[in-house]
Amino acid sequence: MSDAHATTFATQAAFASGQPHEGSPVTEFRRTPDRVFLRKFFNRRLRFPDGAEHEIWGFEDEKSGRGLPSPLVRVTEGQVMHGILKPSKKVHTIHWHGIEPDPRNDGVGHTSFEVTGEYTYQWIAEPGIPGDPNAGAAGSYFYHCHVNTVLHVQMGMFGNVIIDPVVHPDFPVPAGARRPFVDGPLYDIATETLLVPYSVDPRWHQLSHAAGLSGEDVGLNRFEPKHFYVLGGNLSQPFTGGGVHSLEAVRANAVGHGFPTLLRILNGNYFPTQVRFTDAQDNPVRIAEVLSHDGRIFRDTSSPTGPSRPVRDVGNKLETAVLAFGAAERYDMLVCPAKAGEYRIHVDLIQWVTGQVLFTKVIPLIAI
Amino acid sequence: MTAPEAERPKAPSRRDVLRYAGAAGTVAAGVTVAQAAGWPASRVDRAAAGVGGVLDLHINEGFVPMVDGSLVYLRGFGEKATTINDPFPSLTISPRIFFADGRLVDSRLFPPDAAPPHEGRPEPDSAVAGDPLVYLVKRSYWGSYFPRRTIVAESGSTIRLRVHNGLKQPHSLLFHGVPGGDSGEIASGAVQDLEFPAPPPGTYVYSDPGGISVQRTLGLFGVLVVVPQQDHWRLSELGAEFERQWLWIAHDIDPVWSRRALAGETIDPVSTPALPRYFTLNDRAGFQSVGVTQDEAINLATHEETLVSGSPRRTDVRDFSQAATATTVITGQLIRLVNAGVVIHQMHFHGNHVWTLRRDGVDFSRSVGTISEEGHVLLQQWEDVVELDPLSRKDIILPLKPPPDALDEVFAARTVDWHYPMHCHAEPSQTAAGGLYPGGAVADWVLALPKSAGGTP
Ligand SMILES: [Cu+2]
Ligand SMILES: [Cu+2]
Repeated sequence: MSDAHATTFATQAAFASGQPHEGSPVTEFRRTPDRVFLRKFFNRRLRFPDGAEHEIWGFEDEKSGRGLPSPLVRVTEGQVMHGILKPSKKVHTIHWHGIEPDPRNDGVGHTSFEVTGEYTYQWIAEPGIPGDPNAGAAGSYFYHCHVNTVLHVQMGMFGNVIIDPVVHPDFPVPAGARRPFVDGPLYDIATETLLVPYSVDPRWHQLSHAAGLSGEDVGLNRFEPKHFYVLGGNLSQPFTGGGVHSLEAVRANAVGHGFPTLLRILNGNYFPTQVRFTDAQDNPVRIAEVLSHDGRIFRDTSSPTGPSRPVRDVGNKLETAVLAFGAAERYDMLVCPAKAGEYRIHVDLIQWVTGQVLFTKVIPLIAI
Repeated sequence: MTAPEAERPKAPSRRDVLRYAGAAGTVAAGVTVAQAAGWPASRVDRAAAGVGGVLDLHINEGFVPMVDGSLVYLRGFGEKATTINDPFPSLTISPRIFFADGRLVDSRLFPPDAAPPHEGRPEPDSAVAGDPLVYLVKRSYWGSYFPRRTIVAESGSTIRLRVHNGLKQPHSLLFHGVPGGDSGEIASGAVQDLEFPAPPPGTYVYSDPGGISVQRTLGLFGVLVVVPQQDHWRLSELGAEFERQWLWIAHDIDPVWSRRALAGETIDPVSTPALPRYFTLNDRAGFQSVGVTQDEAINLATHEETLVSGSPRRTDVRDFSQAATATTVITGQLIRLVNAGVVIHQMHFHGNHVWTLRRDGVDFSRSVGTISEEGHVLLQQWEDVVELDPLSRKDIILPLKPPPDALDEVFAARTVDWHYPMHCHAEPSQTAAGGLYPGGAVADWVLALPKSAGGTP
């Protein structure tokens, strides 16, 4: 019997530089996929909205072009997902952050293997059941390389993952709308938006693939962002053509004007961030209703045997003007401006020791 | 890697004893790095110190090997007086238990008379009829190993301490948020008694609050775990029930602060903020913290205290006390997350989401959630990343469920333990000495095959 931890190491450097590599391992119990995503490694200098250029590493597929974030993976609960990793000449993995398959499909070197040739990751997002707090994967996630992660994720090796729910007969879905989870509220497909804070320490973008692994001090404990960006965009059209996909504005439906708008946020930084919603005069407005966190729904679990309905359906909506979200956290929320007009989303980047706000980006929110 | 000159001890004796070829390994005279660092041996010490016992805490200083072998000057609350040149400075205590009946017991295992889980891993009771891949777990049966620095107290007990300040500057001992738990300033060379009733069941930090975060970052910290006297397998009297519990203490070390403190400087954490270079979980990092060193003592202590493991079960978050049979319960394992460091940690679990029960001693509601002024959702909830601010504590249940997105046939064909990482996603905390990924605050958890199914150990 093999044990992932049968191997021991004489030093931390031996451990850091001695992660198990496999060329092209097999996908065990391979099924016919419902959805297939190719993810090839690329590196390229990209121009950012502030005019700066940074060396970026990322994943691309046949059509995506070389962009940031890497192309979206969107599947429905219950579908067999295949993610084909082609790391090119170097060693990489894909970790499907928040998705919970077996270790071989989890994409972490020290608990499985790093890939040099090609590997097809396989998983099935667990279907949700209305009122069940123990089942269901629908929500927002991301995927990223888990090799020398501290460097590779900062270099741009990440993309978003969205799991759509199965449709349950008690929760039908009319045209133009979707639900964020099986028994969730209807939202407007046309205005669904992604918001991903990301910052850049340009010093890190000069480093090589295996920087630090042999014990050389490359300062990866020192993250000093000099640029702050908010990536993302409207999800109703695919992000194509490569380049930096930055969120310039959010279009949201005012209350009573069709289905509400869903905003999905992911912190792509290593530092904490927060979003603050205000009107055009910068007064806080409680227009965000938070629905779920890390792909799990805020439910009322007070009955030990009865159904756990979403808190919003038992009179306890989680409405706010501010939401804090640290590294790698995701939140899904409805944005419900009271009336048409201009609002703002302020996105703050916060230093992890001092708590100081390092940067703020203001994204116009246009309610229609 | 050689330690920078300034981080090396001045004393030749220390340098002679600790000959590091590069990192943790066996050093001179058969002394392991684990012992040299004051890390635990694997024995269970159950010696009682008698009724009405007083726990002596000695404020000491010394040099401690980091995961890359560098020696860094640190301070700590130790169990005996040692000097700066001591090759094995006492900077932490072995876990002690204050019982409500007045006994003070020296034991890593709590309760001391509970069954000790082999290598920290509780064996299940039995397989579930008709669902052969999951197990029922024993109720109120397995003991839990605690890491060094832990003081356990039963509710109703009195905590009696005698604090000896062996250093040149004044120091103090504060149990954060605990009435009566403040020694006040203790002059150099002085001794101060401190006695207070155990606060309500929960997880508390103790530290020297001097310089806001400075003395804590230099190593003067530990954790008080208060357990309900009536039920040792619950978070609080009516709180979540668990199979066994774990305490994870995160800490961040800044060798520049250490050098300055050694030189007698006063450090202002505002004008010269910490820049941590080492990140630990239960005083270990990287390959130590996942139990893959060549030092069996380190690996065993890591398994017993840090690497959460157990057999798969179908936990239901609505009720952690579902009884399947008279001697079993359907629940997961409790992890008390404590941030004694200076950075905001983001504890990320692979394989299972975790269920967050409470923050800083306040239970989250199961029905009426609120969003705090800083924008945090206060409601019992699932998370795969748990934010942990400095000095904050969160108590969570790892359900040890079959990983929900694995294919059934893959899970059914499992012939080995499944290891999953837990790491902080504020990724600079995954480094040591500026690189060496993954060399920081990382751990694994294991979805074990029971021994009856051919599992290890
Ligand atoms: Cu991740
Ligand atoms: Cu990870």
